[in-house]
Amino acid sequence: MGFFDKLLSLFGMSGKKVNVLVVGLDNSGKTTIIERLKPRPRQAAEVAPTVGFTVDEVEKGPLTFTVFDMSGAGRYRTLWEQYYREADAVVFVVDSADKLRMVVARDEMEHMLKHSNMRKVPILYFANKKDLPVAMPPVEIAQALGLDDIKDRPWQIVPSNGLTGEGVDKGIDWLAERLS
Amino acid sequence: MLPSVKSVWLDAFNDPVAGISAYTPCVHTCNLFGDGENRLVIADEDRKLKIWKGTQKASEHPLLDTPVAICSYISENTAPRLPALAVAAGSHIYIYRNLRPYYKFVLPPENVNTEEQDIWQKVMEGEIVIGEAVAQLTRLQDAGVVLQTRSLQLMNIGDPDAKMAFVEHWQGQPLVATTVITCMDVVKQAIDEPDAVSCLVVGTESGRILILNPAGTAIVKNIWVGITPAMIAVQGELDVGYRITVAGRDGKLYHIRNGELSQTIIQLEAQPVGLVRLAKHVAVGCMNDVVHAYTPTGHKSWSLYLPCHILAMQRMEVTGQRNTKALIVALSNGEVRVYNEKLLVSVHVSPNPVTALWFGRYGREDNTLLAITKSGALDIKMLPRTANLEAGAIGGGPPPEQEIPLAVPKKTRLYVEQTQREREQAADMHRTFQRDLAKLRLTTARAYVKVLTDGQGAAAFTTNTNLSLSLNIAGLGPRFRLSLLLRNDGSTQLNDIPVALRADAGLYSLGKTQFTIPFLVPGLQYTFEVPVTAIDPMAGTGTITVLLLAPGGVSSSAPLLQAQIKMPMSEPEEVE
Repeated sequence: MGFFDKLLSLFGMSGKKVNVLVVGLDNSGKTTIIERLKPRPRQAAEVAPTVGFTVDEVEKGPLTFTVFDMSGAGRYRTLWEQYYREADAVVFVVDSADKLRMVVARDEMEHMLKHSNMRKVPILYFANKKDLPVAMPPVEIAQALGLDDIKDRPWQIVPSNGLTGEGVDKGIDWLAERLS
Repeated sequence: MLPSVKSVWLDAFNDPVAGISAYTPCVHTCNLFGDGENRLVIADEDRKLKIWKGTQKASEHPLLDTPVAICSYISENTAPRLPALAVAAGSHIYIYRNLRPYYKFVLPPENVNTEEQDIWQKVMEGEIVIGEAVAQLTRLQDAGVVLQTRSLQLMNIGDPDAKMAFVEHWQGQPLVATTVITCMDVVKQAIDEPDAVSCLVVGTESGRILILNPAGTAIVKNIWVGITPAMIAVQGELDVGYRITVAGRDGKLYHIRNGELSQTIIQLEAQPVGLVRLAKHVAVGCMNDVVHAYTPTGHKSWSLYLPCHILAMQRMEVTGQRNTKALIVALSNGEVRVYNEKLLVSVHVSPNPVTALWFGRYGREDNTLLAITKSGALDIKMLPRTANLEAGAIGGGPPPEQEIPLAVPKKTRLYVEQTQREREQAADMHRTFQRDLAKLRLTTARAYVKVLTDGQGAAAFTTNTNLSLSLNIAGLGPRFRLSLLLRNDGSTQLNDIPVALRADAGLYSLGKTQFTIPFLVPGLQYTFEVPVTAIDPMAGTGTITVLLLAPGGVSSSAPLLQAQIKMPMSEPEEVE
């Protein structure tokens, strides 16, 4: 990074664009987490289930994230792979309280990692809904998803609460560090 | 024996100590509270309604009687489509809404034999003694009347005091014929949509099929089958057209079409143990470990022969991107198999035999398989999005080569012209063909005649060895000389050819009846002479047959060549 870029980044104007793909099962809280990344006045209080996908632009320090918020509903999951090629990072949101479907999340994740279009990009896991009493701790989730077997790319699991925004920034900071 | 068929399922959850004891009709999932998350509802044999949410039991509710079946259905067209939960137990259907008791439907009483009623009337009023009543009831039973349970119980009590107490117990209560529910299902009223208004269909011990109104308060259709239905499978919509397949206790399949009992009755080989409706068929599992699939008209489409007993059967209606309707069968060896039509697409083994199966939406996952084992365990499996249940995907079925199109050459001009010609001159071509066919037949017939007559003359030749033989007779008789003129027209020499001569032994005596030609060089004419004597010149004439047999070393009994000569009339012997 040259001096000029550094100067620009100081003013938050550099605008290196990165594409971030946000995936996860339905009702895991993907859209809610993306809402927390936006500046407070633009945040929506209530979100509806995403149909297809939505694209948002979020600025984070020197980076401009182009966030692809994919729908997690079963019939839209085939859409995910259309965006693997462009993705510079992946955010995988898991519902910590949905113990039953952890195996489905794992199945979808394994399909994604095996896909030929997917590059060796960093993956950030949000163990969302950590406020719920039945929520599993991140360590258990990492075990259930078999994250220890991922050796070819950087990954991180962060417990989060999409409703309050707790943990979201911590995760995104990790991602920004990886991408800059 | 089995192809290596793997399990298609994802293991989501397993609770080995769930403590559930239920069979397939008593397991159900539905959107119980209208919040989009489907709960598992089990009407347990220990008279409890157990509600599971996710991986935990959420609540338990006592039931008044041992449950027979549970169903959920939408009863009203109002905005929040909250399903009503119907629990059939004894002769009642308990309908719950929001998991609160809402309504109780009681089956109407059946007709009672009037004579039986009279006997009870009299015995209660003391007009006849109990012994007399029992005798009359026995007579009634012998006459072929089906008695009520109360009468049968009375007849079975041995102790007179206990008999008295039994009559005392029922004192003042008129004899009514109560019946109980044996099976229950749901039929959509007008449209086939997941949240369309539906009605309950109930089978009773008295051999009836009852269809209730959507509210579950009255009977809209009462169909008399005549035999107790053990299981029912419903297809179609009540207002549009529906078909109910009934597996009776007598091991027969009955069909009800739009409220009419069809004449088509299928006699099964063994008692039915499971009945499942599929896309085009109704599959019935029998006690002889076979699943038969019948079309709605009653024709059998296919059969599956299983290695051991069938414990549970369930329909697997996959929603989402595919709309497969498959069949799940649980076997006594713990296997749970999935069949798409006839093709086995998945096998997994449960450590304990599975007694109840349910496939449907559970929690937020559409395609979930819930299995309850004999030991009371609950096993939850999910169908991955990418699972392939299609025929031909996993061995069996037609080979993949069948799908590869043949390399059919393009239509050349020559081909097109030929086709054109064939079309225009079809009559001529046919005539030519017929003429050639007639010619072929003629040639064949001629060749056949030749085969029959060959070797009947004095000169003969063969084609395969290129030999020619001609016979001559010299002399006036009674002593003749037969000369064989033999010529090898082939290109190779022949060795050791046996020659045999045959003649009527009563007419002629031959100088030698057999000899061997040591050598036949191609191109040369050989002459062999055999003296022939007519035994009795007055006896008439005969023929002499000369046979050239296959050369030594060739194991063929067919002669190479055969020639025949007719002998001339012999002069009488000159006496000197």
